[in-house]
Amino acid sequence: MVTLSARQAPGVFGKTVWVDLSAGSVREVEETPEHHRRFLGGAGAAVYQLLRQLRPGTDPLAPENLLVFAPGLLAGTQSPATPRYVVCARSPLTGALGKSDSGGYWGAELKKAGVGALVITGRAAEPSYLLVTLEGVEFRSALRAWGLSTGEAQDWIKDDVGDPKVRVAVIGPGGEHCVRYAGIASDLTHFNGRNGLGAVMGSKNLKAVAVRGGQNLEAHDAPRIKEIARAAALLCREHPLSRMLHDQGTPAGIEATNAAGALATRNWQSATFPATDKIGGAVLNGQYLVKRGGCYACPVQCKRVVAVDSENFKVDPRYGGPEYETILAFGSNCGVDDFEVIAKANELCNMYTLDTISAGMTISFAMACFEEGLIGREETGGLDVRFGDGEVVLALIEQIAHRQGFGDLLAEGSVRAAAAIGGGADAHVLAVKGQEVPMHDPRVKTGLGLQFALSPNGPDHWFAQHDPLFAAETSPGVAALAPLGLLGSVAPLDLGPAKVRLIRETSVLNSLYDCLGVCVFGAVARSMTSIKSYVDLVSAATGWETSLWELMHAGERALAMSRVFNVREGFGPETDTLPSRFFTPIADGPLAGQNALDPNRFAEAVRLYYGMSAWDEGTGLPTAGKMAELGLDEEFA
Amino acid sequence: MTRTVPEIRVVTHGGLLRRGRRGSTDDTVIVDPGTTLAEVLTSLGIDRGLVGVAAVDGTIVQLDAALQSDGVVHVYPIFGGG
Repeated sequence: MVTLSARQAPGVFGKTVWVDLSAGSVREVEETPEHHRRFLGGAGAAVYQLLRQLRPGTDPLAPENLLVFAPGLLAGTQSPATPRYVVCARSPLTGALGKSDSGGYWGAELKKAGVGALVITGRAAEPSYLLVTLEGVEFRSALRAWGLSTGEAQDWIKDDVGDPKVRVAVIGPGGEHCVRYAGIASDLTHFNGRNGLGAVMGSKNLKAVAVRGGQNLEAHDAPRIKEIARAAALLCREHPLSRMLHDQGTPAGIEATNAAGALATRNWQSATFPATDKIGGAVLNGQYLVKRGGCYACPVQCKRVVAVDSENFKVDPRYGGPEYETILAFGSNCGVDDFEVIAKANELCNMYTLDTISAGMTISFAMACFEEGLIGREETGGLDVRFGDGEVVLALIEQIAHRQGFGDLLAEGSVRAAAAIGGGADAHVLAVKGQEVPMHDPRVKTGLGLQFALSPNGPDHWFAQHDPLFAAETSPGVAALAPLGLLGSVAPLDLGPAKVRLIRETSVLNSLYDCLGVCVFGAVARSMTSIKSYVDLVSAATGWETSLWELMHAGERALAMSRVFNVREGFGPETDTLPSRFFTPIADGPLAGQNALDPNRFAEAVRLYYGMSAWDEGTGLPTAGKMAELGLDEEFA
Repeated sequence: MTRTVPEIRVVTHGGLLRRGRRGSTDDTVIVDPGTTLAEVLTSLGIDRGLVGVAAVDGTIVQLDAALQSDGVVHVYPIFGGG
């Protein structure tokens, strides 16, 4: 046990705690009030540490890579829908900024243990886990947990600690084997899924970080926070988008996306899936839902918990249930029309900590290669890797997680696998900056395309807000985001200045959300909590007399630092683009032969985003003036 | 003389009407020729701003389009990201 200074009354900021796994040492830093005000928490705090402390060019799987866990500023308070924490490192999948945030309870618990940012470096001599409490940080052996699934490991750690209420962020075999898209699970149902940050944990011999706080945070004006939370809870029942999220969850979007002719199907070779009624939200909610789940202090409770107990499959509800992205990644995208297979695939990925988007996309890539004859049974170990074969999907997940057979190649992700296969296999890759794209088609949502291209952590479907929320004057996003000066509707296929402005401003807003710990499913434009509420919540939590202007600049500051980090690692403007597939027409369905993005217009829109952000077109870096405006010039220019 | 009146069956998805947990509920309305889908939605109490896609027989239809023949209209809620 490395005892830290007294943290008996944790505040909303928390301390920065550095852990060196190689040396077995811990030190803590009390950041200045100015630091908190500039970077807030979450993504702002984490990217700051990476940019300042990580040597450029560090191998992502080397001990020197930093792994930062940072709850948002409001995480751990009673603020509505602000449970999120971010994990950052240099990504072993992309080589760029690795940044993946998660909801649940773990981030709030870390804050209640007095920690605002946990920065981990080095490599433990043997498999280990950290126990973080108000008393300090304890290094513990995880030899007996190494090789276990997330559920088994969590059970073992809770027994080892002797406290069933400890919150555990853990990796499964996928992380241990450094699968380049391994994630991190907390409480078995919440995930830092993207960018391979679980592989960074594995490379450090770090099985888990267990946290026990237990005290409520001391906020400046707790009654005001509760007042806003109560109002949000009431509004949640009436706000149509919040209500639908609670009732139906994200899978409800599957049927709508299929009807729109934009459903990722068979590695995006098709845009409609005839068996959508077998895998969509209606079948999940109607046949397999056992209960709803949610996150700390969130009134929405949007998560699904499913169980399967059939002749072919048993799916344990302790691993939650598949979301929209997962259902499509393993369902239509792999040509699989059996919900039970998808639920099983989700369970396996959660047990092994594989990112379901990259796993599904890498498997569908292999299916496309196999069906085109670029690979055969010799390469796949005898498997017929064809679209529609659910058994093959499940077998490949097992192989990938344990780096066995053909799975060892797929564990590298589709970009590296295509390079190894050659022969034009890269035509079947849909990735940006080395990461596979989520299940949204930029050909029906051009702003989503800008998100994929511009997100510093690879294609991220929550880099900004989604186009349909602003499609018509009556769309809910139009009124909700008027306080940002975004007035009027913007058509989903628009790619002009109005669309770029929408994506630019909402990317800053979402970056602010990432600093505060806000979940996009609890906040405007996707849900009910207003922008003004967050300004009030920050004031109530911190005692600052703040404003939307100041907070949006903090969001922009985090984005600018991310940009500097990426350029430093070799990701310039040429990487801000889309897979070639999106510049071709949609193959079939109601939009057959239509909607190809124009590459020149798209590039022009990217450049306009640069211009609005004051990023240099040649280097991709924020200009000196922008860095100075954001107060980053002295440290990072 | 028999008057031909299109019978439009409107099926809403994703909890737009919030009738039951399954999220797929339907209502049948009979409309005069030329009635728009937007007017049908209004009669059902559905805010058109919440509608993401409407389709008849796999073809996307605009809310302001006049409904001219018998058929089933599937209406899906706005999907702002999963």
